[in-house]
Amino acid sequence: MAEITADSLGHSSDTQVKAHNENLKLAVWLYLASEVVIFSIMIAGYIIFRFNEPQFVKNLHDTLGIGLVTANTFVLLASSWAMVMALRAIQMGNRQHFMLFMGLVVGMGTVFMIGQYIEYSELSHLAITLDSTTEEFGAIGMRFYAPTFFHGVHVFVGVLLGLQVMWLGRKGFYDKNPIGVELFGLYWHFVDVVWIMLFTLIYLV
Amino acid sequence: MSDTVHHQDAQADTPSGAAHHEHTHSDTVQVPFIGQVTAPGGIYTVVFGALAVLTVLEVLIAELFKSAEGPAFAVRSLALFTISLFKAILVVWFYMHLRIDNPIFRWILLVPVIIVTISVVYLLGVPIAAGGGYF
Repeated sequence: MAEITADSLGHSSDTQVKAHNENLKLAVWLYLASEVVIFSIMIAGYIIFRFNEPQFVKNLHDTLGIGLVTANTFVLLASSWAMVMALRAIQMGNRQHFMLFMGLVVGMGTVFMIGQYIEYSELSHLAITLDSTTEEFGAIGMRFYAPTFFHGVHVFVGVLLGLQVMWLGRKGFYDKNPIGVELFGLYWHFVDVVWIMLFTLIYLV
Repeated sequence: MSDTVHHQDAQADTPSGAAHHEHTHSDTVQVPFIGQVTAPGGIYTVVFGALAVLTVLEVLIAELFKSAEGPAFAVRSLALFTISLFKAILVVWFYMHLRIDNPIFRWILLVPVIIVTISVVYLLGVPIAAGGGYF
């Protein structure tokens, strides 16, 4: 019977770690696939309303303007850049830069939520609520709030998860295997991709 | 022989592979139509720059052609949708590492997108086929 050497154990455990990492990534991708379906249903609901009631959507665009939501979009895009830079930093063994970039991710996620809150405040002043019907905006409330609020909840959860990633990273948890950072990154980038589509569909078209 | 094995294993020391890291972490990238670009963060910063430019372009198209109607509205909408789709692909391909990861992840993302797109197009088309319509 062959002796199990430290070398062979090392090689075997590295293979196991890689396989485990791949399994974790597969799980997250499957989760993201389910999120695609959920968001698509809400987007479809908005698209149908958009075609049915173009005047109400035009009124909303004219009233809200494009400034705040464009700034918010840039913030989220920048947070996505910061996220991938955080992963890059921890992969290069630079924990300080990792903490810096993760701080940016969490900070910009928070800024985005504040921007959404400001916009929702404006909408409430216009009497646009979940179940309201107004002369100027019709029943746009649910069609608008459903996808954007659901996205906002994802950002909120992402901020909390980001704080946890920062906490664990600070203690060196990701120094040898940064898969946890990569998995969180997949989630955060997906949230950004959803916003890219929502921004165009709801605010630009 | 053992040196070769150790060299190959050394590349796999980190779970993602050291060779992959060196390629990903370069600050110099080759950008189509532009040439070699050096920026902190390399390809990630270049992609962010592209996303920013495309977003500005989107907003300009949306605002400049705001009052477009009929075929012009359709062209405007198609342009906006195409740009946003390209932005999404940039994020998914470079930031979510689909470029270098297991190809099965691409199918895991693509299959629901395709199914949902077909479903939504069908649902939008049903009232038209039945004599109703949204247009």
